[in-house]
Amino acid sequence: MSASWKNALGDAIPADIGEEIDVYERQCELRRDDNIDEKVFAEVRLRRGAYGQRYDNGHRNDGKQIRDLVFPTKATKGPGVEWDAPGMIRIKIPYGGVTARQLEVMADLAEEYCDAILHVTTRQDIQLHFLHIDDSPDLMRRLAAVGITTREACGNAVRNVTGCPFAGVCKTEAFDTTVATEALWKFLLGHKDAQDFGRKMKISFSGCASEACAMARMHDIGLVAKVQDGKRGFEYYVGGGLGAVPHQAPLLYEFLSEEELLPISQCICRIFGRMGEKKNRSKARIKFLVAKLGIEEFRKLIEEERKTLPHDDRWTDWIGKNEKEPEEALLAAAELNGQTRPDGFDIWFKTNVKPQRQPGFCTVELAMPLGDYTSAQSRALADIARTYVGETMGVRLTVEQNVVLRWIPGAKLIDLFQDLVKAKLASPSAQTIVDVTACPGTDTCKLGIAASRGLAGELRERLAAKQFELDEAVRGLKIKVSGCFNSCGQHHVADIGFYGVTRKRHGFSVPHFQMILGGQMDNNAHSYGLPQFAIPAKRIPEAIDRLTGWYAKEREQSEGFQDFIKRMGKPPLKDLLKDLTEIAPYEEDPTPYTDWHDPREYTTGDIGIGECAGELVETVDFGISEAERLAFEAQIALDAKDADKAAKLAMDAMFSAAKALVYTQNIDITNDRAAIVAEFTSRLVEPQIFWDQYVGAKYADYFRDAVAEPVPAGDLEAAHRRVEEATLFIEASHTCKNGMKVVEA
Amino acid sequence: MAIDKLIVKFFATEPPERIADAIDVFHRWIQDDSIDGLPLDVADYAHVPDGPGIILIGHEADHALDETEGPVGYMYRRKRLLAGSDEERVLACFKAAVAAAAKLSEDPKLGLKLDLSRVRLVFNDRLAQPNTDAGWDAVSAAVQAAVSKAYGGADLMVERDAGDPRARLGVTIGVAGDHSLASLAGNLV
Repeated sequence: MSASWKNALGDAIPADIGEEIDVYERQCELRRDDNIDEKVFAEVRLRRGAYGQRYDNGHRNDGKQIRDLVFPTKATKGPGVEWDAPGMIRIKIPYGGVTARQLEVMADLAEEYCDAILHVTTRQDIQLHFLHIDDSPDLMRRLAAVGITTREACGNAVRNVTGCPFAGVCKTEAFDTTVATEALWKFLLGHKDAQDFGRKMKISFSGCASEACAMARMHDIGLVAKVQDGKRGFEYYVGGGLGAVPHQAPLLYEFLSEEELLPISQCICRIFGRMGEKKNRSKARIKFLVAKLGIEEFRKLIEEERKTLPHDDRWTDWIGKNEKEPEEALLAAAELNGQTRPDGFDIWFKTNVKPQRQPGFCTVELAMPLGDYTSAQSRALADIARTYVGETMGVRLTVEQNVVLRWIPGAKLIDLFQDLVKAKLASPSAQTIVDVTACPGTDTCKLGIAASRGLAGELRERLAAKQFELDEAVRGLKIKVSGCFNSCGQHHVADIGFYGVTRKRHGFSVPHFQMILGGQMDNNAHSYGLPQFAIPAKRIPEAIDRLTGWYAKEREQSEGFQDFIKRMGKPPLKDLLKDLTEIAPYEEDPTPYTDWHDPREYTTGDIGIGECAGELVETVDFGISEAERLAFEAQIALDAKDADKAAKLAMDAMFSAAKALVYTQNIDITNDRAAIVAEFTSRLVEPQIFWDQYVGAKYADYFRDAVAEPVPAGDLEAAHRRVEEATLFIEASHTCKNGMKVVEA
Repeated sequence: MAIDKLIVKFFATEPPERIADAIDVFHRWIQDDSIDGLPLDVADYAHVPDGPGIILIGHEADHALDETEGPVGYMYRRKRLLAGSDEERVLACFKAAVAAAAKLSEDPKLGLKLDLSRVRLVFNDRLAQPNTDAGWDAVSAAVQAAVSKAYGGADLMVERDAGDPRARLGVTIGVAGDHSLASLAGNLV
C-alpha cells in the first residue's frame, strides 16, 4: 500500500466524508483532463471551500507592466482560472468552536500546504492562502479526521453558521445557543433543500438582544435567543445583509419555539431556492426577495410551505441537549487573589478579560493582528487550551478576528498571561481601537479595490504605539476596513468604517477609502453607519488622528461616538478633513499614488471576477455531472475487466441523471429507485419532455430497460453495452435539460 | 518517500532594521524578472510576531525574509516536485537558496548579513519525512552528502531538533571553516 494521507488516516475519516473527498479528488482529475465542464467544476470546488485568489487569471500588474503568469499546467479550475494558480481554502468553524487537536492539525496544514499563517475571518472561519488545488483533497482528509469540513464554506450554499463566542458563559444571554447552532448547521449541511440558491446564505445566532457578539440583524437569517412563558425559542430575523446595499433584517417571528427552528429554516431555504433571483447575481441574496415580497407576504409563503413539509425526526432530536451535556470547566472556579502581578498584566486584564456568568471564571480574548496567527502559535494555543480549559469547548473564534478562551479560573489568570506572553499572544488591545478588523482586500481577494489589510496594519501599528495615551472613549472605538463595497470587513457596523474605492486624480488612479461613520455593533448590529466622503488611502491615518482628537475634545460628557457624529453633522466634519482629500500631482509627490504596504503604482487592472457569488449551477447540473463521473468510473471498471462493478456504476450513473431531471419537477424526490423510474416516466417521458424528435423514447428506454433487466453477473459484453447505453442516456439528459431551459426562457 | 518539500534557512547575523523593507525588494525582483522560477506575488506578514515575515510567493518555491524557524533570516521553501535522487533534490534546493540569499544580501535597502556557519533544514511534509528516528535515518545520508558538497567538503555538525514531536522533521547543521555565499555558489556549479 503506497504512502498517502488516505491510507495513513484510515478509519479516522468518517466513511461518508471520506467517500465525498474521494469523489472530489476524482472530479479534480477529470477537470484537469478536461472531462468535466469548468463552470460545474468551479461550483464543485467552491462548495468544498476551495476559493480563487487574486491573479489566478494568469495576469498580474507588477507596477510597470501587466505580466503573464505562465503556469505549467494548461488546465483551468473554473472559467478563466488557472489550475496552478494559488487559491484559498476556507475552513468552516461553526460558531467558532475549535478543539485543541483541531488547532494542531490546522497548524500543520498551514505549514505544509500554505504559508504557515492561519487567518481568522469575520465569520469565524479559518482561511489558509496560497494553496495549490492538487493539495486540497489531502488537506480535506486531514481536517475530516479531526471533525472539520470545508463543505459549503463557499459557493451558493448555507455558509458557516456563526454564533456568539460567549454563548453559555455570558451574563446577559437568555440561554446557551451552542446546541441550537450545532443542530441547524448540521441539518442544513448538504441538505437537498439548500442546494439551489442563487447566492449564499449566512446565518447567525445570538444569545441576547443587547450585545454585539453575533450581529444577528445583518444576516440572511439572524436568531436571538428568547424565553417566553418559560419556553425556549428565538426572535427570528430574515433578509438582512451588508454588501453594497446593507439591509437590516426585518423581524419574521417575535418568538419561534425551538421545535420550529429547523423546519421553518428549511421552509425558508425551499422558498429562497424556488423564488430567489438567479439571473441577476447582484440582486440574488434573500434580502432582495424579502424586500420585494414584504415580510408579511414572505411569512405567508413560509406558513404555506410548512403545511406540506415532509416530517423529519432531526427537527427536534437535539432539543434539551444543553441540560443533558452541560459544558464543564477543566479547573475549579477561583477568584483572582493577591498574587504578584507581572508587568503588563493590569492593562491586559482591563482590555482582554471579562468575568463569566459563572462566579470564579473569566473569558480571555486574544487579539490576533489582522486575524493572523502562526502555526507555532496555533500549537501553543492548543497547549494552553489543554492546560486551562480542556481539549474541547474552551476555545472560540470571533467575528472580530480574535480568539476567546473560556472557563479560565480567575486565580489562573496570571499563569495564563505568562504563557500567552511566551507565545506572543498577550497583546493588550482586544476590543480597542488598536484591534482593527479587515478583510483580505487586494492582498489576496480578486475583488479588492484597495489594500484593506495594508491600511489596517498601518493603523494598528500607529495606534498601538500611542494607545495608552489615548482618551478612554477613543480607545474603545472600533475600526473596520473592507477592500471594496462588498463589506467583508463589516465596515457598516463600525464606529469608523472604511471601504476601498478608486478616484482619478491628476490623470492617475489613486486608492481611496470611503469613510463610514456611526455604525453600531451593539444590539445585534442595530444600526448601520453612513458614508461621508472618500479620502486618499495614504491620508487615512491622519484622518483618524484628527477625527478621534476632535471627538475627545468636543464630546459632551459620556457622549457616544454615534451621537457625537449625529450632533456635529457633516459640514464641520468636512471642514476638519477637507484638506486631506487633496493631493499633489504625481510628479511632485508619488506617495498617494501607491497603496499601503505595496510599492507598485496603483492600478485597478488586477481586479478580477469574484467567486463570492459562485457559479450558478443548478442541482440538475450537479446530478448530470455526477452521472458523468460514475460513467467514467464504469469505463475504468470495464478496462479492469470487472463486469459487475462496471454494470453497477453504469446503472448508478443513469439513476443520477434521471433523478436530477426529475428534481426539476419535484424537489422532494428521494433516492427510492422505483419512485425515480415512475416519476421519470410520468413527469418526463409521457409528456414527451425527455423525448427525441426522431427516435422518441429510445434513450429513456435504455434507462427503463436497464432497470428491468440487470446485467447478468460476470457478463463483460453485456456490461460493456450497459456502459454505452449509460453514456447515451447521459447525453440525452443534457439535451433534455437544455430543452427545458429553452422552454423556461 | 522522496524529498520534495524542503525548507532551507540561513540565519542573519545582521538583520534588516525593518523587515517590511523586503516588500519593496521582492516586488523589484518580480519587476526585473531576476529570480529563477515563476514568482507570483508578495505577502506581508510583518505584523505577526515570529511570523513568516515578508514572502515572495512563487509557483515552484517561496523566498522569505522569515522570522519562523528561529531568528530572522532568509528562507527558501520548495513547494512543487523535484527530480533526481534525494541528494540531487537537496542540492537543487541549496542552489536556488544560495542564489536568492546572495541577491537579498546584496540589496542595499536591507543591509542583510547572513550567518553561513550554520544552515537550517526543515522537511515540510509530515507524511513523506515524519519527525521520527526512522524519518531522519531515511534522508540523513543524502542530506549530509548534499550539504557537505555545498560547503566544499567541510565537516558538519548535525543537530536534529529535539522537543516537540508535533513539529516537522528539522535539523540545524553547523559547518566548520569560513564560507561565503559566493564560495557556496562555486561549490554548487
